[in-house]
Amino acid sequence: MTTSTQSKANRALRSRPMRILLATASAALVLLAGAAPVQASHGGDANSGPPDNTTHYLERFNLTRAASGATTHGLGQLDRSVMDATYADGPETDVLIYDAYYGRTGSWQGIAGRTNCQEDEWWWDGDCDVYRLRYNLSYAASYGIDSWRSLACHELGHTAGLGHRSAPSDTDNNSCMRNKIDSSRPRFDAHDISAINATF
Amino acid sequence: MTEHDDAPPDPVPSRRGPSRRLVALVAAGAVALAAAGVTSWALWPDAVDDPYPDVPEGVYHAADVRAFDDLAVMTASSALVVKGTAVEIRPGAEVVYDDGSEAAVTDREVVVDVDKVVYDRYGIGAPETVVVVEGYWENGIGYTREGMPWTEVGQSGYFYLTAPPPDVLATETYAYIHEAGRVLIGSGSAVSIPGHWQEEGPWTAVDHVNGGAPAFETAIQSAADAAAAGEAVPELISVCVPSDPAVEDSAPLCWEE
Repeated sequence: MTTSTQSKANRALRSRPMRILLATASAALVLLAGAAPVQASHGGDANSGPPDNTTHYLERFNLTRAASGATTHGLGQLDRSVMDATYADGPETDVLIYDAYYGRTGSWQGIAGRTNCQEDEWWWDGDCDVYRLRYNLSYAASYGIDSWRSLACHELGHTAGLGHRSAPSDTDNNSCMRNKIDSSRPRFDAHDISAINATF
Repeated sequence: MTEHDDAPPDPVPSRRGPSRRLVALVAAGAVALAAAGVTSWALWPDAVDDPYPDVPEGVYHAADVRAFDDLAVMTASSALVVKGTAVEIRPGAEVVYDDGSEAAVTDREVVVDVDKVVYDRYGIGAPETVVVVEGYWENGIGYTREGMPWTEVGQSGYFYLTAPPPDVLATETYAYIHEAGRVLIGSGSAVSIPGHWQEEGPWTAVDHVNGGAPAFETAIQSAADAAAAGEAVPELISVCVPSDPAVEDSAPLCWEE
């Protein structure tokens, strides 16, 4: 087994659905064997692939007004593509959105926003079921409205499966998916939209 | 009475092995133990797995506050630029995010044995080692920035490090000023830099095709000389805290550093 295969298998085995499946099966065996009952777990997965479908439920966790407004802008950008993004809370949420003053040291140094996959669908093709998105107010609190919009567009773009764009791949300099947040780039460009649509 | 009952006792100990009942009991016990182990692993993976695995399984995407087109500016903006070798990887500070997620994140620290201080913005001096935060662990999973493999013990190169100014916030750990701020030099003078460094950023001016590591080292020293001479100005960024620490949505107090 290669390292890559091992890693994939390990990820698959770590995933919450797999653990729940194993837990259910093994808990039944334990009960049959007279062992003590067990309790539920909380965990996350690590893969960072495209979303599992075009339905995109976003949930905001006590966001500041600026973050909330920018997220609405990002939601609108997603809706320019095949994505069907809307706000909704509950178990079907696809994107969990947080903000905080995460600081300017350690892994947050120089980082205005961060996105990762919280739960992937290992049993299908590794697509992401639930993303986690964070805005770092330690930097973003100084942003004007268009920089905020650029940040939200950028992070929500990752939840639609987009990667980063470099300057040579964004010659008209109008994609929010560039590495650096810039007020002049608050939207997806046509290439970004096409890339999202091509995923499905 | 059966024919079997009439048979005389066996004069020698049986060689048939353990009884079916014993085999069944042992099997049941093994199944129970295995099931208990799987249950424990499935429900409490952190208690079973290494909480700080050596290999990252997770990737996070990050939006940068900075971007550098000029190596001298990246140098001047750094608190410290060192040449060194990674000698230890260890878990650092753990933080529980107060954002509604209650996520507990542990910094992954790389201890770098310093061979040479290339640039020292704040007059920190010449440390024997520096500690660099590179990635993090959460819930037994290691996370690395997209396109930035974790540094391993034994790898050498140049590290462009930053931290808040010592007079503002003393910290014993550094972070890369940018993803292009880690230049690992491997065998055969192979150079490894994260991100789209061949397409954009401070390294595009270096002849990476023909020059190899010597070309990078020449450029690094030249940029350090320019920064030390004041020919390159540090790029400042705005940082903020809430005016009311208890109210996240209170007006921010921001400044440049």
